[in-house]
Amino acid sequence: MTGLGKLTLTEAKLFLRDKVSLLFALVVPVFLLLAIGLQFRGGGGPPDLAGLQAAYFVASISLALALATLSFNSLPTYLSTYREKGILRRLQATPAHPAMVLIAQILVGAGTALLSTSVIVGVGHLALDIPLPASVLEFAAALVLSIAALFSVGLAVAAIAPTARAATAGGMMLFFPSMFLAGVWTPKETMPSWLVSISDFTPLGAALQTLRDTWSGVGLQPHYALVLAVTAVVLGSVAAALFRWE
Amino acid sequence: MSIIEVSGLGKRYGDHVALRDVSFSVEEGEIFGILGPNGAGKTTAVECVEGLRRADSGTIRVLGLDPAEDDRELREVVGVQLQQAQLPELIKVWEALDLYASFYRNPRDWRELLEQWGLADKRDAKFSTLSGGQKQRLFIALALVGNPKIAFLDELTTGLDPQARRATWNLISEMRATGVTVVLVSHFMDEVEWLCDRVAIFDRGRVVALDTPAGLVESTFAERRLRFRPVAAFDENALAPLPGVREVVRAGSQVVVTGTGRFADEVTALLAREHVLVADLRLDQPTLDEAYVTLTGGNQ
Repeated sequence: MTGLGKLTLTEAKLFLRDKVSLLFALVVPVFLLLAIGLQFRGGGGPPDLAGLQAAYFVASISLALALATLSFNSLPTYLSTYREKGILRRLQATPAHPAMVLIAQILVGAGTALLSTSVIVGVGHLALDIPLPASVLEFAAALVLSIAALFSVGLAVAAIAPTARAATAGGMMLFFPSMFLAGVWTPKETMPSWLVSISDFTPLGAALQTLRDTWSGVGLQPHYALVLAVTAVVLGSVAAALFRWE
Repeated sequence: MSIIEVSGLGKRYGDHVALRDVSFSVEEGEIFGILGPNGAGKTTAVECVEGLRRADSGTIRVLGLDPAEDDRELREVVGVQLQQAQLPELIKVWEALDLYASFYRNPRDWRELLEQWGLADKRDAKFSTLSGGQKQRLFIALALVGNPKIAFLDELTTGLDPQARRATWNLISEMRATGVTVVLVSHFMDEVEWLCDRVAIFDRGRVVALDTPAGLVESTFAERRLRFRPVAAFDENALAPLPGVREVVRAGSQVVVTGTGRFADEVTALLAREHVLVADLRLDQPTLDEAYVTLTGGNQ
């Protein structure tokens, strides 16, 4: 195995070894899903319509936590630490381009996002009777768009932050408002309409809505897909333009 | 044919001139030292040669390649240890070597490097658990894993205890014995004196001297002093006509003879012929340290 393959494998090992990232990207979301979901479900049997909505809500909290952790915390912290410690610069002195580390990090993050999403969907289905996504293809498309948009946010943070500490702080500052606006603490259904409009334009809000839509069978809505695509292109370009290797 | 040729190198950062008209060449198989105070431009010059930075002016050829143009090709054949570069904390020693080996077309067997650099028992240790000396040895092994023709080592032994420094020097000598040309950036005189065949001394962005360590001392201190204390009465003026002797001074019971060339041999021969017994005979031996301070104007 050479170059990018080995680098991705190594980054994956490091990600697994750094247990905190995996804890918040996989273990805590699944735990939340079960802890809250089983409460909502009450006395067994398939959930009624209201129960099902609640179940989708809980599942979306889990997805939000997993995706937001990976994009707003892990990615910017890893990359800016790599820059600060000269790890990227050292790679620049080899025939490998340091951009390969970025790609490897994105691959590992996207793989983890895919794994977490699959586990959440699977556990939701088995333990909480949440139906599997109505259209796997649309759900997959929604997931890819979401990862692209949210990871560009993380990459932009890593590009702009002058230090690793600033990147972690910046990620945190995005994490909490994003989680709120995406309807994690207050369901979107109970938000005032103006707040919902804002939520629909945030990357995490649009990501969760489009994942819920494609999961429950409403289908991929162009509005959210567009918000995600534009975020990915704009912030991805900002990150590419501003990223420093040292 | 020089393996590295640098001529007329210039580099500025805004108003600050980092390098001006820097020229030097490195011969195949030698250990070439770059010495100078902090901020003298040592690292900038080396990083231009490595292709990590672009010079504003001048030409560089490394193994016939232009670092600014053929940087990919160049990186296949040079190994680099950077002054401030870490590895991910949780990476294991063997993983780092295995990973870096995968970047090169003709890597060395990293298992041999593990043995050679005394890291075999640290094979599965995480980077963050290594001592300073072990980290340095790993960095050197990483610089060599691509099977380079030239290795650049920047501030290699900074932060190491004296024993670890000595051990590292021995390994560098061995490295040269395997045919690798070494460029060593340092600000330790003893290190350069012990290891380097030739040294370029940088000061404020210029090369102020370039010679062998002994040559640098020789040319900087043309005059040396011989001191001794005659045990019995002795007329020191008898020494004045000897070849090479410039000045003879008596300071209390001590005679101080200043001269050039082989004057000390002449003086001791005369003392022996005249059966003059002397005590505390001492020839001041200027060190590279002193030469360096003189050359760089004590500008530390």
